[in-house]
Amino acid sequence: MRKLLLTISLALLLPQLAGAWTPRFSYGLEWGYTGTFLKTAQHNFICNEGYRIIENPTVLRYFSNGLVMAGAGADLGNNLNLSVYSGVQGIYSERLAIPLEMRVKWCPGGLHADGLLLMAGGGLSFPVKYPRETGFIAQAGGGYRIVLNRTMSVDLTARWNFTLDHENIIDPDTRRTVPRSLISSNTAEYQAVNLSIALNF
Amino acid sequence: MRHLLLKLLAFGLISALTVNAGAQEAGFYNSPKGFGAQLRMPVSDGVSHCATAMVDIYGIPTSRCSSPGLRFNFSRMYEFSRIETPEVVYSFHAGPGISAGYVRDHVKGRGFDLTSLISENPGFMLALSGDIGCRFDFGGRISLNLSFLADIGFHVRRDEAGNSRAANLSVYNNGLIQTFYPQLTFLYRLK
Repeated sequence: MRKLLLTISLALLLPQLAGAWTPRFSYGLEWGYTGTFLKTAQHNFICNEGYRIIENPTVLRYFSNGLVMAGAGADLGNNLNLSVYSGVQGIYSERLAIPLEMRVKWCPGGLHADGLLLMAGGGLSFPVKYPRETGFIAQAGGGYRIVLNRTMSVDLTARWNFTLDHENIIDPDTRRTVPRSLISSNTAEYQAVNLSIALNF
Repeated sequence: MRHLLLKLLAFGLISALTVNAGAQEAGFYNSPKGFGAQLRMPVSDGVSHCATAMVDIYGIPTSRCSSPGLRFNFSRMYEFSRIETPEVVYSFHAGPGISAGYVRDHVKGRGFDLTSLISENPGFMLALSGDIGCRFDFGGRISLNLSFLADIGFHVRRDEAGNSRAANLSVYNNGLIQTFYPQLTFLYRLK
Protein backbone atom coordinates (compact mmCIF):
# COMPACT_ATOMS: atom_id res chain seq x y z
CA MET A 1 0.00 0.00 0.00
CA ARG A 2 2.83 2.34 0.98
CA LYS A 3 4.63 1.52 -2.28
CA LEU A 4 1.49 2.24 -4.28
CA LEU A 5 1.02 5.60 -2.56
CA LEU A 6 4.64 6.46 -3.21
CA THR A 7 4.32 5.54 -6.87
CA ILE A 8 1.15 7.66 -7.28
CA SER A 9 2.76 10.61 -5.49
CA LEU A 10 5.83 10.36 -7.68
CA ALA A 11 3.73 10.08 -10.84
CA LEU A 12 1.82 13.20 -9.82
CA LEU A 13 4.87 15.10 -8.67
CA LEU A 14 7.30 14.29 -11.46
CA PRO A 15 5.66 16.42 -14.15
CA GLN A 16 5.50 19.31 -11.66
CA LEU A 17 9.16 18.85 -10.81
CA ALA A 18 10.12 18.59 -14.45
CA GLY A 19 8.14 21.79 -14.93
CA ALA A 20 8.67 22.10 -18.66
CA TRP A 21 5.97 19.84 -20.02
CA THR A 22 2.26 20.16 -19.38
CA PRO A 23 -0.19 18.63 -21.85
CA ARG A 24 -2.37 21.00 -23.83
CA PHE A 25 -5.86 19.65 -24.34
CA SER A 26 -7.25 19.67 -27.87
CA TYR A 27 -10.69 19.14 -29.34
CA GLY A 28 -11.70 18.38 -32.89
CA LEU A 29 -14.63 18.13 -35.26
CA GLU A 30 -14.29 16.17 -38.46
CA TRP A 31 -16.45 15.29 -41.43
CA GLY A 32 -15.67 13.69 -44.73
CA TYR A 33 -16.35 11.41 -47.64
CA THR A 34 -15.52 7.71 -47.71
CA GLY A 35 -15.37 5.75 -50.96
CA THR A 36 -15.39 2.01 -50.29
CA PHE A 37 -14.07 0.09 -53.27
CA LEU A 38 -13.32 -3.47 -52.12
CA LYS A 39 -15.09 -5.97 -49.91
CA THR A 40 -13.70 -9.38 -49.02
CA ALA A 41 -15.68 -11.75 -46.81
CA GLN A 42 -15.34 -15.17 -45.22
CA HIS A 43 -18.52 -17.11 -44.58
CA ASN A 44 -18.72 -20.58 -43.03
CA PHE A 45 -22.23 -21.69 -42.10
CA ILE A 46 -24.76 -24.52 -42.26
CA CYS A 47 -27.58 -23.75 -44.66
CA ASN A 48 -31.23 -24.69 -44.44
CA GLU A 49 -30.67 -27.91 -46.41
CA GLY A 50 -28.23 -29.08 -43.74
CA TYR A 51 -24.91 -28.91 -45.54
CA ARG A 52 -22.02 -26.57 -44.83
CA ILE A 53 -21.28 -23.63 -47.11
CA ILE A 54 -17.81 -22.11 -47.13
CA GLU A 55 -17.47 -19.06 -49.35
CA ASN A 56 -14.97 -16.22 -49.62
CA PRO A 57 -16.53 -13.63 -51.92
CA THR A 58 -14.52 -10.67 -53.18
CA VAL A 59 -16.66 -7.77 -54.34
CA LEU A 60 -15.07 -4.93 -56.28
CA ARG A 61 -17.83 -2.33 -56.12
CA TYR A 62 -17.72 1.35 -55.30
CA PHE A 63 -19.87 2.69 -52.48
CA SER A 64 -20.04 6.28 -51.23
CA ASN A 65 -20.36 6.94 -47.53
CA GLY A 66 -19.68 9.71 -45.08
CA LEU A 67 -18.42 10.30 -41.59
CA VAL A 68 -19.01 12.88 -38.88
CA MET A 69 -16.84 12.66 -35.78
CA ALA A 70 -15.83 14.61 -32.72
CA GLY A 71 -12.80 14.06 -30.59
CA ALA A 72 -10.74 15.13 -27.64
CA GLY A 73 -7.11 14.61 -26.81
CA ALA A 74 -3.83 16.20 -25.86
CA ASP A 75 -0.74 17.58 -27.56
CA LEU A 76 2.25 15.48 -26.48
CA GLY A 77 5.12 17.81 -27.19
CA ASN A 78 5.40 20.10 -30.18
CA ASN A 79 4.78 17.61 -32.97
CA LEU A 80 2.50 14.87 -31.67
CA ASN A 81 -1.18 14.82 -30.82
CA LEU A 82 -3.05 11.88 -29.35
CA SER A 83 -6.86 11.96 -29.47
CA VAL A 84 -9.93 9.79 -29.05
CA TYR A 85 -12.60 10.23 -31.73
CA SER A 86 -16.16 9.02 -31.98
CA GLY A 87 -19.20 9.76 -34.13
CA VAL A 88 -21.05 8.13 -36.99
CA GLN A 89 -19.42 6.40 -39.91
CA GLY A 90 -20.91 4.73 -42.98
CA ILE A 91 -19.24 1.41 -43.72
CA TYR A 92 -21.11 -0.05 -46.67
CA SER A 93 -24.54 -0.12 -48.25
CA GLU A 94 -27.03 0.57 -45.44
CA ARG A 95 -24.40 -0.25 -42.84
CA LEU A 96 -23.69 2.41 -40.22
CA ALA A 97 -21.43 2.16 -37.21
CA ILE A 98 -20.40 4.21 -34.21
CA PRO A 99 -16.59 4.16 -34.14
CA LEU A 100 -14.40 4.66 -31.09
CA GLU A 101 -10.95 5.40 -32.29
CA MET A 102 -7.54 6.33 -30.93
CA ARG A 103 -5.70 8.62 -33.33
CA VAL A 104 -2.14 9.86 -33.55
CA LYS A 105 -1.30 12.97 -35.58
CA TRP A 106 2.26 13.92 -36.31
CA CYS A 107 3.23 17.28 -37.76
CA PRO A 108 6.96 17.39 -38.61
CA GLY A 109 6.87 21.19 -38.76
CA GLY A 110 5.05 21.58 -35.45
CA LEU A 111 1.42 21.26 -34.40
CA HIS A 112 0.92 25.01 -34.50
CA ALA A 113 2.37 25.73 -37.92
CA ASP A 114 1.14 25.30 -41.50
CA GLY A 115 2.53 22.15 -43.05
CA LEU A 116 2.52 18.43 -43.59
CA LEU A 117 0.44 16.21 -41.34
CA LEU A 118 0.70 12.43 -40.99
CA MET A 119 -1.83 10.42 -39.10
CA ALA A 120 -2.77 6.89 -38.09
CA GLY A 121 -5.56 5.51 -36.01
CA GLY A 122 -7.32 2.40 -34.90
CA GLY A 123 -10.18 1.30 -32.74
CA LEU A 124 -13.52 -0.38 -32.46
CA SER A 125 -16.73 0.10 -34.42
CA PHE A 126 -20.16 -0.62 -33.03
CA PRO A 127 -22.70 -1.29 -35.82
CA VAL A 128 -26.18 0.14 -35.35
CA LYS A 129 -27.92 -2.72 -37.20
CA TYR A 130 -27.88 -6.53 -37.08
CA PRO A 131 -25.34 -8.17 -36.85
CA ARG A 132 -24.15 -5.99 -34.01
CA GLU A 133 -20.86 -7.73 -33.29
CA THR A 134 -18.14 -5.21 -32.60
CA GLY A 135 -15.86 -4.53 -35.55
CA PHE A 136 -12.40 -3.11 -35.91
CA ILE A 137 -11.25 -0.03 -37.81
CA ALA A 138 -7.80 1.17 -38.82
CA GLN A 139 -6.63 4.07 -40.93
CA ALA A 140 -3.48 5.78 -42.05
CA GLY A 141 -2.84 8.80 -44.22
CA GLY A 142 -1.68 12.33 -44.43
CA GLY A 143 -2.59 15.81 -45.42
CA TYR A 144 -2.00 19.46 -44.78
CA ARG A 145 -2.59 21.52 -41.66
CA ILE A 146 -3.58 25.19 -41.95
CA VAL A 147 -3.29 27.21 -38.76
CA LEU A 148 -6.03 29.79 -38.25
CA ASN A 149 -4.86 31.36 -35.01
CA ARG A 150 -3.09 30.44 -31.78
CA THR A 151 -5.63 27.78 -30.86
CA MET A 152 -7.46 26.80 -34.06
CA SER A 153 -6.38 24.88 -37.14
CA VAL A 154 -7.90 23.09 -40.13
CA ASP A 155 -6.68 19.69 -41.36
CA LEU A 156 -7.28 18.53 -44.92
CA THR A 157 -6.53 14.81 -45.09
CA ALA A 158 -6.62 11.85 -47.45
CA ARG A 159 -6.31 8.40 -45.95
CA TRP A 160 -6.79 4.72 -46.43
CA ASN A 161 -9.47 3.10 -44.27
CA PHE A 162 -9.72 -0.54 -43.30
CA THR A 163 -12.81 -1.91 -41.57
CA LEU A 164 -13.34 -5.41 -40.22
CA ASP A 165 -17.04 -6.06 -39.87
CA HIS A 166 -19.64 -8.85 -39.85
CA GLU A 167 -22.35 -9.46 -42.41
CA ASN A 168 -25.95 -10.49 -42.45
CA ILE A 169 -25.56 -13.94 -44.10
CA ILE A 170 -28.55 -14.89 -46.25
CA ASP A 171 -29.44 -18.54 -46.78
CA PRO A 172 -29.31 -19.26 -50.56
CA ASP A 173 -32.46 -21.43 -50.44
CA THR A 174 -34.82 -19.67 -48.06
CA ARG A 175 -33.46 -16.09 -48.66
CA ARG A 176 -33.65 -15.61 -44.90
CA THR A 177 -31.00 -14.61 -42.39
CA VAL A 178 -28.94 -17.59 -41.19
CA PRO A 179 -29.26 -17.88 -37.38
CA ARG A 180 -26.11 -17.19 -35.40
CA SER A 181 -26.04 -20.73 -34.00
CA LEU A 182 -25.41 -22.13 -37.52
CA ILE A 183 -22.55 -19.76 -38.36
CA SER A 184 -18.94 -20.83 -37.73
CA SER A 185 -17.25 -17.78 -39.20
CA ASN A 186 -18.54 -14.48 -40.51
CA THR A 187 -16.17 -11.65 -41.28
CA ALA A 188 -16.08 -8.94 -43.92
CA GLU A 189 -13.22 -6.56 -44.63
CA TYR A 190 -13.70 -3.26 -46.41
CA GLN A 191 -11.01 -1.15 -48.04
CA ALA A 192 -11.80 2.51 -48.58
CA VAL A 193 -10.34 5.89 -49.35
CA ASN A 194 -11.36 8.81 -47.21
CA LEU A 195 -11.19 12.57 -47.80
CA SER A 196 -11.83 14.63 -44.70
CA ILE A 197 -11.79 18.11 -43.35
CA ALA A 198 -11.24 18.68 -39.64
CA LEU A 199 -11.45 21.67 -37.39
CA ASN A 200 -9.17 21.57 -34.34
CA PHE A 201 -9.44 23.91 -31.39
CA MET B 1 -20.99 9.79 -64.72
CA ARG B 2 -22.69 12.16 -67.20
CA HIS B 3 -24.42 13.91 -64.28
CA LEU B 4 -21.09 14.35 -62.52
CA LEU B 5 -19.45 15.78 -65.62
CA LEU B 6 -22.31 18.23 -66.11
CA LYS B 7 -22.04 19.35 -62.50
CA LEU B 8 -18.27 19.79 -62.74
CA LEU B 9 -18.74 21.80 -65.91
CA ALA B 10 -21.32 24.01 -64.20
CA PHE B 11 -18.99 24.55 -61.23
CA GLY B 12 -16.11 25.41 -63.54
CA LEU B 13 -18.15 27.87 -65.60
CA ILE B 14 -19.52 29.66 -62.57
CA SER B 15 -16.11 29.80 -60.92
CA ALA B 16 -14.50 31.25 -64.06
CA LEU B 17 -17.26 33.84 -64.46
CA THR B 18 -17.17 35.02 -60.88
CA VAL B 19 -13.39 35.13 -60.62
CA ASN B 20 -13.44 37.42 -63.64
CA ALA B 21 -16.11 39.48 -61.88
CA GLY B 22 -13.59 40.30 -59.14
CA ALA B 23 -13.99 37.59 -56.53
CA GLN B 24 -11.92 38.27 -53.45
CA GLU B 25 -12.40 34.96 -51.68
CA ALA B 26 -13.06 31.38 -52.75
CA GLY B 27 -14.58 28.99 -50.28
CA PHE B 28 -15.42 25.38 -49.57
CA TYR B 29 -19.04 25.16 -48.43
CA ASN B 30 -19.99 22.44 -45.89
CA SER B 31 -23.43 21.79 -44.51
CA PRO B 32 -25.81 18.92 -43.76
CA LYS B 33 -27.61 20.35 -46.83
CA GLY B 34 -24.67 19.52 -49.10
CA PHE B 35 -21.22 20.52 -50.24
CA GLY B 36 -20.01 23.05 -52.72
CA ALA B 37 -17.98 26.05 -53.71
CA GLN B 38 -18.48 29.67 -52.79
CA LEU B 39 -17.14 32.96 -54.10
CA ARG B 40 -17.30 36.34 -52.39
CA MET B 41 -17.06 39.70 -54.05
CA PRO B 42 -16.82 42.90 -52.05
CA VAL B 43 -18.99 45.73 -53.36
CA SER B 44 -18.28 48.49 -50.90
CA ASP B 45 -17.40 48.81 -47.24
CA GLY B 46 -19.55 46.36 -45.29
CA VAL B 47 -21.51 45.12 -48.32
CA SER B 48 -20.57 42.06 -50.34
CA HIS B 49 -21.99 39.57 -52.82
CA CYS B 50 -21.73 35.85 -52.30
CA ALA B 51 -22.31 33.13 -54.94
CA THR B 52 -22.64 29.48 -53.91
CA ALA B 53 -22.90 26.37 -56.07
CA MET B 54 -23.56 23.17 -54.15
CA VAL B 55 -24.57 19.56 -54.55
CA ASP B 56 -27.74 18.98 -52.58
CA ILE B 57 -27.46 15.67 -50.70
CA TYR B 58 -31.06 15.55 -49.51
CA GLY B 59 -32.18 11.90 -49.47
CA ILE B 60 -28.71 10.41 -49.95
CA PRO B 61 -27.74 9.71 -46.31
CA THR B 62 -31.12 8.03 -45.83
CA SER B 63 -30.62 5.94 -49.00
CA ARG B 64 -33.74 7.43 -50.56
CA CYS B 65 -31.84 8.26 -53.72
CA SER B 66 -28.33 7.86 -55.05
CA SER B 67 -27.72 10.94 -57.19
CA PRO B 68 -27.51 14.41 -55.64
CA GLY B 69 -29.27 17.57 -56.77
CA LEU B 70 -27.64 20.83 -57.72
CA ARG B 71 -28.39 24.18 -56.12
CA PHE B 72 -27.20 27.75 -56.65
CA ASN B 73 -27.55 30.79 -54.45
CA PHE B 74 -26.64 34.41 -54.89
CA SER B 75 -26.83 36.68 -51.84
CA ARG B 76 -26.12 40.28 -51.01
CA MET B 77 -24.78 40.59 -47.49
CA TYR B 78 -24.77 43.60 -45.20
CA GLU B 79 -22.45 43.68 -42.24
CA PHE B 80 -24.43 44.94 -39.26
CA SER B 81 -22.05 44.37 -36.38
CA ARG B 82 -18.35 43.83 -35.81
CA ILE B 83 -16.42 42.70 -32.75
CA GLU B 84 -12.65 42.84 -32.81
CA THR B 85 -10.44 40.84 -30.45
CA PRO B 86 -6.67 40.34 -30.72
CA GLU B 87 -7.26 36.76 -31.96
CA VAL B 88 -10.40 36.94 -34.09
CA VAL B 89 -12.53 39.55 -35.81
CA TYR B 90 -16.21 38.59 -35.72
CA SER B 91 -18.37 40.25 -38.35
CA PHE B 92 -22.08 39.57 -38.33
CA HIS B 93 -23.94 39.83 -41.61
CA ALA B 94 -27.41 39.33 -43.06
CA GLY B 95 -29.01 39.84 -46.41
CA PRO B 96 -31.41 38.74 -49.11
CA GLY B 97 -30.69 36.53 -52.09
CA ILE B 98 -32.04 34.22 -54.72
CA SER B 99 -31.78 30.42 -54.97
CA ALA B 100 -32.38 28.09 -57.88
CA GLY B 101 -31.66 24.48 -58.60
CA TYR B 102 -32.67 20.98 -59.58
CA VAL B 103 -33.30 19.23 -56.26
CA ARG B 104 -35.49 16.77 -54.41
CA ASP B 105 -37.95 18.05 -51.86
CA HIS B 106 -39.38 16.80 -48.60
CA VAL B 107 -42.85 15.45 -49.26
CA LYS B 108 -45.30 15.60 -46.46
CA GLY B 109 -46.87 12.20 -46.13
CA ARG B 110 -50.36 11.56 -44.86
CA GLY B 111 -49.63 9.53 -41.75
CA PHE B 112 -47.31 6.66 -42.51
CA ASP B 113 -47.28 7.20 -46.24
CA LEU B 114 -44.48 5.15 -47.77
CA THR B 115 -45.14 6.42 -51.28
CA SER B 116 -44.36 9.98 -50.22
CA LEU B 117 -41.41 9.01 -48.06
CA ILE B 118 -39.55 7.12 -50.75
CA SER B 119 -40.76 8.97 -53.82
CA GLU B 120 -38.19 10.17 -56.30
CA ASN B 121 -39.27 13.71 -56.97
CA PRO B 122 -36.45 15.76 -58.45
CA GLY B 123 -37.66 19.07 -59.81
CA PHE B 124 -36.80 22.67 -60.40
CA MET B 125 -36.69 25.02 -57.45
CA LEU B 126 -36.74 28.81 -57.45
CA ALA B 127 -36.77 30.78 -54.22
CA LEU B 128 -36.02 34.04 -52.48
CA SER B 129 -33.53 33.53 -49.69
CA GLY B 130 -32.56 35.17 -46.44
CA ASP B 131 -29.13 34.64 -44.96
CA ILE B 132 -27.75 35.47 -41.52
CA GLY B 133 -24.34 34.58 -40.20
CA CYS B 134 -21.01 35.39 -38.67
CA ARG B 135 -17.61 35.53 -40.24
CA PHE B 136 -14.51 34.64 -38.21
CA ASP B 137 -11.43 36.39 -39.53
CA PHE B 138 -8.15 35.17 -38.04
CA GLY B 139 -5.89 37.58 -39.89
CA GLY B 140 -4.49 34.95 -42.23
CA ARG B 141 -5.51 33.78 -45.68
CA ILE B 142 -8.15 31.41 -44.28
CA SER B 143 -11.28 32.57 -42.52
CA LEU B 144 -14.47 30.79 -41.49
CA ASN B 145 -18.07 31.72 -42.06
CA LEU B 146 -20.98 30.19 -40.15
CA SER B 147 -24.43 31.03 -41.45
CA PHE B 148 -28.07 29.99 -41.71
CA LEU B 149 -30.16 30.38 -44.83
CA ALA B 150 -33.88 30.12 -45.45
CA ASP B 151 -35.41 29.69 -48.90
CA ILE B 152 -39.01 30.69 -49.57
CA GLY B 153 -40.04 29.50 -52.99
CA PHE B 154 -41.61 26.76 -55.04
CA HIS B 155 -40.71 23.37 -56.46
CA VAL B 156 -41.97 22.14 -59.83
CA ARG B 157 -41.74 18.43 -60.61
CA ARG B 158 -43.34 15.69 -62.63
CA ASP B 159 -46.47 14.09 -61.26
CA GLU B 160 -45.25 11.50 -58.75
CA ALA B 161 -48.05 9.04 -59.42
CA GLY B 162 -46.84 9.05 -63.01
CA ASN B 163 -50.35 8.87 -64.42
CA SER B 164 -50.35 12.21 -66.14
CA ARG B 165 -47.91 14.50 -67.90
CA ALA B 166 -48.97 17.41 -65.74
CA ALA B 167 -46.43 19.04 -63.41
CA ASN B 168 -46.83 19.32 -59.67
CA LEU B 169 -46.21 22.69 -58.09
CA SER B 170 -45.73 23.11 -54.36
CA VAL B 171 -43.95 25.19 -51.77
CA TYR B 172 -40.28 24.21 -51.54
CA ASN B 173 -40.53 22.57 -48.09
CA ASN B 174 -36.82 21.95 -47.60
CA GLY B 175 -36.11 25.65 -47.98
CA LEU B 176 -37.81 26.22 -44.64
CA ILE B 177 -37.14 22.86 -42.95
CA GLN B 178 -33.39 23.20 -43.52
CA THR B 179 -33.20 26.78 -42.23
CA PHE B 180 -31.46 25.70 -39.03
CA TYR B 181 -28.95 23.43 -40.75
CA PRO B 182 -25.62 25.18 -40.12
CA GLN B 183 -23.52 26.19 -43.11
CA LEU B 184 -19.79 26.36 -42.50
CA THR B 185 -17.58 27.78 -45.23
CA PHE B 186 -13.79 27.76 -45.27
CA LEU B 187 -12.86 30.93 -47.17
CA TYR B 188 -9.52 31.41 -48.88
CA ARG B 189 -8.41 34.96 -49.65
CA LEU B 190 -7.42 35.21 -53.31
CA LYS B 191 -6.12 38.77 -53.34
